[in-house]
Amino acid sequence: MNEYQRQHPLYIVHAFSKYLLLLLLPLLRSLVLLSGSFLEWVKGTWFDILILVVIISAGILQWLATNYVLRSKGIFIESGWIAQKIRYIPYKNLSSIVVEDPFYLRPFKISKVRMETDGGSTSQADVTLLLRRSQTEEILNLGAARLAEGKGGPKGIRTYRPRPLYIAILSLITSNTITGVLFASTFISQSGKVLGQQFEDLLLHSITKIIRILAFNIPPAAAMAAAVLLGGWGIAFLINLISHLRFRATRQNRLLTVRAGVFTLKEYYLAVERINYVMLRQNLITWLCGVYSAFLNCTGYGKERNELAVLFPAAGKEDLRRTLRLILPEFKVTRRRSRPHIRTFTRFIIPPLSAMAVILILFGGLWILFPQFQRTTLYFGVMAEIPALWWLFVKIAAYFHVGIGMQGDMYTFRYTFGYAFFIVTLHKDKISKVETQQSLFQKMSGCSDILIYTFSEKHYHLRVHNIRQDGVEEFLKVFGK
Amino acid sequence: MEGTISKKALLLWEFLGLAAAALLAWLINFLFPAHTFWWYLLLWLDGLALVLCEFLYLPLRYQNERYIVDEEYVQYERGFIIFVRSRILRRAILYVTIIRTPFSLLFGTRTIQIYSMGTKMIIPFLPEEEAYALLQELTPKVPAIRPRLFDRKESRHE
Repeated sequence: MNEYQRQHPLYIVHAFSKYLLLLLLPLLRSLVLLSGSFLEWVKGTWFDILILVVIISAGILQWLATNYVLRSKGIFIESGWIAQKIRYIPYKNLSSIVVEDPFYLRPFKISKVRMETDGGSTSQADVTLLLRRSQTEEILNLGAARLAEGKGGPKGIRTYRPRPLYIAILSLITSNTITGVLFASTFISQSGKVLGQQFEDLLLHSITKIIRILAFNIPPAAAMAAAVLLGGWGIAFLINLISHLRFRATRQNRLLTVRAGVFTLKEYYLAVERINYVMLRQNLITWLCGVYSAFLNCTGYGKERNELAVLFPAAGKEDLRRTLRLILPEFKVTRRRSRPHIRTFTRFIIPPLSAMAVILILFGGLWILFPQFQRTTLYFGVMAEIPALWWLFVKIAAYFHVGIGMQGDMYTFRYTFGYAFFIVTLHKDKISKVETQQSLFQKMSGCSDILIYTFSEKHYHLRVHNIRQDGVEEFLKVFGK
Repeated sequence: MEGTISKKALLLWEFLGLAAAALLAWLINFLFPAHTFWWYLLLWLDGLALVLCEFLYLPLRYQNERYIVDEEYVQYERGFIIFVRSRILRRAILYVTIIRTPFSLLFGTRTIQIYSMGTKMIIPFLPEEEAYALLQELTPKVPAIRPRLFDRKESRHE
């Protein structure tokens, strides 16, 4: 302690690994396939070699310029060689410490350490260091111990391990087609850059061939669209599943520790008093089955790409109650006290019904105008109606879901957004602003929307639709106290 | 403490409404042949919108503009077609800012911005003295609230 320390020298390569790989692999490939002399190879690739040298030199300078020193109450960090940045962060101001162990760093016994406060950048960690395991342990012994300090919180150590099935359910609920499609397209284009155009062409040709085999009796464009959607979703599902396998949450005093992952093992050390809210998420199917996935908002948790801020992957109603009491007994999910009036039911179903009517008119018009494409029009028309119909079911269920619950200083808000059902529970002190909105139509039906702006590193608000006016007034009365 | 925004705001809105209607009338006159059906229809609609806006919508909107400063919270109400009430707990206020622009110098008004973590509340067109009084009143005398998660009495799940 009290001595300046550096990151592991591998940082020099790790910091620019993306660019290095793009340059190094084509260079090595051309060297392996070399037919002339070595000098000829140097003549042909001198510019690439020069850039490689510049990148490595920049890495060395950055590594030399980054130092840190651990004090008993905080950490000093110096970084930057063009513009120097010196920071001191008291451990008590930390919201979370994250330790990442990717599979390729494990043989070197190196971890990536991220430290987060409620301030700083919303997209990057306040401090990121690549350290030896012994250095990481030193930081955890001081920093994580400080996060756990103070009175309150449950006694002893409490651990929660979900069943693998629950993790699969979580991946099923949270997988996003766009993430998968982006991942696949990046993989194909990057593999082309690294392994050559021939490989990229072969990959695309094979995919097209598989789609052709699978597409029987449907238009080729429709088969391609379906394959992209399904394939993208499948990839996203696998990414989510792999990154949440071996999930474990442990509560000790005021510290919550979460561990998850197979290829990249991640450990999150979270200060419980810095948790802004706990969010339960469902889709229509899990809502009907009574299965919940729980997430939490704490600066640093779920901040990286493809990272979810999971508290527990999936649980039934009883399991939810038990697990929440075990891990975060401070957060209570309470019964809804204010809810929508029956006469506002139409306000829930009019938007999806309108969307269905618009799609029907649009594709009806295309059917009449382009008789030669009637089969394709019918296919895409039916495909477009399905999400609108699903939305209608969601909105019908939303009427029975939305509401506000209050118990002491803990508030529970139930709302829907898109196709998802949410329950957010938080302490009164974590609400930064409350807004009520009432349109002229809502005034006639005696209801209002409530918008809750919560404490959060990123701007976040939730909207509870069409709550009875007397319920809104009661909520404002309680909130104002 | 309770108040409303400056009457000069209504004057400004009325002027802006009039200018927008005049611009629209000029565009209709420019784009459509004079004394035709569409020319008359659009000009009449423009005139009707102007009358409704100047004599009904804007005065009612102004009437709904109100702020309340309680011991516990700050509330700002606004809007006519969509009536909005925003409320910030005073304990959650981080800092307060006064904004002065060349226009506000002309009207003798100021805009006040109240910041809390992750959000802010904006009260525009406040008379100058009132804005400075609010700044004094709302600027936190003690640091913003610390989480009180562990101070509560035990309560059970439902």
